[in-house]
Amino acid sequence: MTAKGILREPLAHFLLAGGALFLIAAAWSGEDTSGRQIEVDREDLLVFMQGRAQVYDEDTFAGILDAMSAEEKRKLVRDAALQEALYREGEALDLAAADPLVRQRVVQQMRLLLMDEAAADMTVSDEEVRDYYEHNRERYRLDPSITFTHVFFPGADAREKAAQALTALSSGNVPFERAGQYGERFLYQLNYSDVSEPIVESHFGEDFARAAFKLQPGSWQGPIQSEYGWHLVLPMAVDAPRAPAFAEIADRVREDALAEKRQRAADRALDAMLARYEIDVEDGILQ
Amino acid sequence: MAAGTRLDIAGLLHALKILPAPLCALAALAACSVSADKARTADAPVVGEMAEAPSAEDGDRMLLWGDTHVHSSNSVDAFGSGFDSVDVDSAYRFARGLPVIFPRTGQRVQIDRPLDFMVMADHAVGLSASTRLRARDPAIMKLPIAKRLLEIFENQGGQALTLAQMFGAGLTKEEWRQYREQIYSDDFLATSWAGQVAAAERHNRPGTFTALIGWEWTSAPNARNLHRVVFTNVGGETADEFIPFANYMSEKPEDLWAYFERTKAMTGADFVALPHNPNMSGGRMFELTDMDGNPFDAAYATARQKWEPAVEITQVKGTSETHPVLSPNDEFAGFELFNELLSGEVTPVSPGSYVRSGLLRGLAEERRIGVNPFKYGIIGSSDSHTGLSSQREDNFFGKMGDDFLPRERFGPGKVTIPFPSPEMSAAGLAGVWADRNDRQAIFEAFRRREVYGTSGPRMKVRLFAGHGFSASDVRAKDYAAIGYRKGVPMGGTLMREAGGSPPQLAIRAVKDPDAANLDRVQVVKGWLGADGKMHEKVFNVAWAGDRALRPDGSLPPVGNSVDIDRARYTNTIGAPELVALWADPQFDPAQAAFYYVRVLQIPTPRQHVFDALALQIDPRTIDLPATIQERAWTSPVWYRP
Repeated sequence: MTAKGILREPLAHFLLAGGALFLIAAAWSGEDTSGRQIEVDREDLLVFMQGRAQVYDEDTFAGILDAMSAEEKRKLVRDAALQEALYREGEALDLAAADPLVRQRVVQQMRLLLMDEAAADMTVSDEEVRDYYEHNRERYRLDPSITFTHVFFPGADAREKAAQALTALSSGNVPFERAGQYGERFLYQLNYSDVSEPIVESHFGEDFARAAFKLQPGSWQGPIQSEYGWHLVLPMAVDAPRAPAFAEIADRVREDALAEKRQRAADRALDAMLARYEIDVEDGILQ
Repeated sequence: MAAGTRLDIAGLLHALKILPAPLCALAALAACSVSADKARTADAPVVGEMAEAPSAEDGDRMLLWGDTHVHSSNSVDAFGSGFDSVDVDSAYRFARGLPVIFPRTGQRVQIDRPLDFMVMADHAVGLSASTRLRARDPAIMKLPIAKRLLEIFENQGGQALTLAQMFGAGLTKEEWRQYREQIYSDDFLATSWAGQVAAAERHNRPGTFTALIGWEWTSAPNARNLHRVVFTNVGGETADEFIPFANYMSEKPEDLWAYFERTKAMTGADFVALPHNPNMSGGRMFELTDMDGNPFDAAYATARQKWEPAVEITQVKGTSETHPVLSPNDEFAGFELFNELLSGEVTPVSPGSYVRSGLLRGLAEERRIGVNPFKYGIIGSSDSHTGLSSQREDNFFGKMGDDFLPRERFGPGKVTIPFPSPEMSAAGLAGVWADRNDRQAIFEAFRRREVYGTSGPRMKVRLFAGHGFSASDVRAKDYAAIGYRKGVPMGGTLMREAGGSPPQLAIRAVKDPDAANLDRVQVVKGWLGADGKMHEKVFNVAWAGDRALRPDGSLPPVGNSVDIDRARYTNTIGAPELVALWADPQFDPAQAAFYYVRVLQIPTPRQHVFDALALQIDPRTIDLPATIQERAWTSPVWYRP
């Protein structure tokens, strides 16, 4: 199996540490490359300790280091040196090129580095933001959404009970947060905020969803039938689909415009880098 | 590379970016086609079979315990040597409380208390390939690749077969291609799936034990874990009309949701997807772009919220609540962390990898695009690959079966495997407040997020949020009835009350009768400030003993009754029950927020201490924490200004 083969294979990714580690272990021949020197300073030790603990907090580890006994420090230096030595030995064997995961990581880092260099200090002008908005209006359309609370009545005479409760609720003497006690517990939520039609539909059924989105906000209405029984509904807001005004979403558009500009710059940088290479393709591949 | 034609790249640059939708989308469509002839319309959704309603006088909901994430030997990676995992029937029998045999050692094992429900979450990719091959199932033996696989199994053993199937190890390029062509096919999957469905039907006992029909969708681009466990509300008859969606059809969650839509329209089956191990996603589980790198829009957020009501906050491969780097002021943030990729590579701590930061990002995204993409409830489950749902520190059967025995975990006989059991705590479980114990009722509880997670112990935790609770309500006999009347349970949303007064949280937590006392109850609040910035704070709201809060709101530790040399603790500290009626002291009615409850046990011995003592190794010489403060996390309640 080739390295590329593994990379393309999602299955390879689901257990795996195993695979990668065994490969490294197998390739590691323990060759002694003598005459090398490993320098370990305080900074190296702090970096090593943080990496090992997976916690990145230099001050804490500086404190731990200072509190260590001479023996503990000796052991720490040994561990850090061992790690460095293993790393160098592995590099000498070019394990990174052989191990698909390490290779992937290097590629990823290089890509990020290039993209970052190309696009770091970039800004967008007001004109560019406006222009981006004009060309991408569709992206900012808002789906219809509804915010409501409801009272649920299941069972045989649910519709009649609901109609009776409507009178009490409509009197205006019941704050909405107390309305729940007029009905029974519904199997999903009591309150729904800014939900779109698919979610209402998945909780109440299609007919209810269609009816709910036609309601006028502000007063108790119903009863409306769902797949489970009858409901009194108090819509607080029913928002039709709409394109928001530019001012309403200006910040978001600016972010998106900047992201796109950065992406374009990064693409150019990747292209420029690749253009420095000649790519030889096996005959017949491109036919 | 053989030198031949020189490629002119000028015309190719970035052409790749504008390729149309990936081919896998086509495969995804095919996934539904198995029984298109039996297609139904969405007007007739199927309701799962129901148990008889309980006779509880107050009509209260019942607490069910379950594991939504168990792998049997039908999962390619759990098959291992062929003896490292029990078969699918034994996995169900174990969960139902029956004694079973662990195949490699021949030992009898039994769960301490049966579960109420389980999802047999075997990977859809390569489903039952190893077990069908071992059984010389005629359908698989007809495939050309079967001969080669059987040869590997017979000559080199189960482990070699497992590696061949997972990585193509030992297969030629051509054999590996054939493997995928023949095993990753609708036909193959349909037969394997029928076996899973039939097993669930054999063990489903509405009212007593619910076998939810499901699978695991194993998407992990670049070893970043985006896995989802999926289950359906329907029974076997309907489940036989579709086949599961596997990661080889697509690795995009968006395509998984589209599959749910199509399959629901065609068969009436409804679905729930539960992401797990965000801690192993390298920041991608709660990243703020879709799989194509685009920022979310309302349609994406709606689909994600609709199909993914809860996330696994804990399991054997670590806890994903938060990390000390992200929550420096949360003294309990460093709990059973496992911040690495599936490849074992350690990654920087990212807010995209943790549930609390994900919930915060959800609030910010809701403000930006109008819909919260991360409106997740919370559960725990095991992800056991032994087939044994195992959550007890004092009797942990491990993550993989390769190191089932203590001597395989420590000392000279220690085996080297990707996820060694000593590194894990025995976790986790899902608590579900359901109307009945059946497929439909459990499904509904997940959809309304009235669920919570624990690291293993079965502490009973209840949360209602609302306005107008009185102090006596949390101690009242009909506390739950009051809770449903005056507020919303965990998973719900609160609206701004006319006076803009702070929401109250009515909380009751009772210890697991067979486990340790409780240390404290905390409320974790996350909110968006007026400046749009994300904030979090942990409040101690109820605690055992006569401790007093310090000026900064923290609480002195509960103490430690653990005797490490005997792996014992005593309930001489802590409390069996803690209740609180809490109102947010820093409430601003203009700010969107969420609140979830965290309940901590007193310290108890961690699972590896038992193994070490049994092997006569001093637990103090092992570089792992000897005690653990087990805990429960409720689904949040959201406040909408």
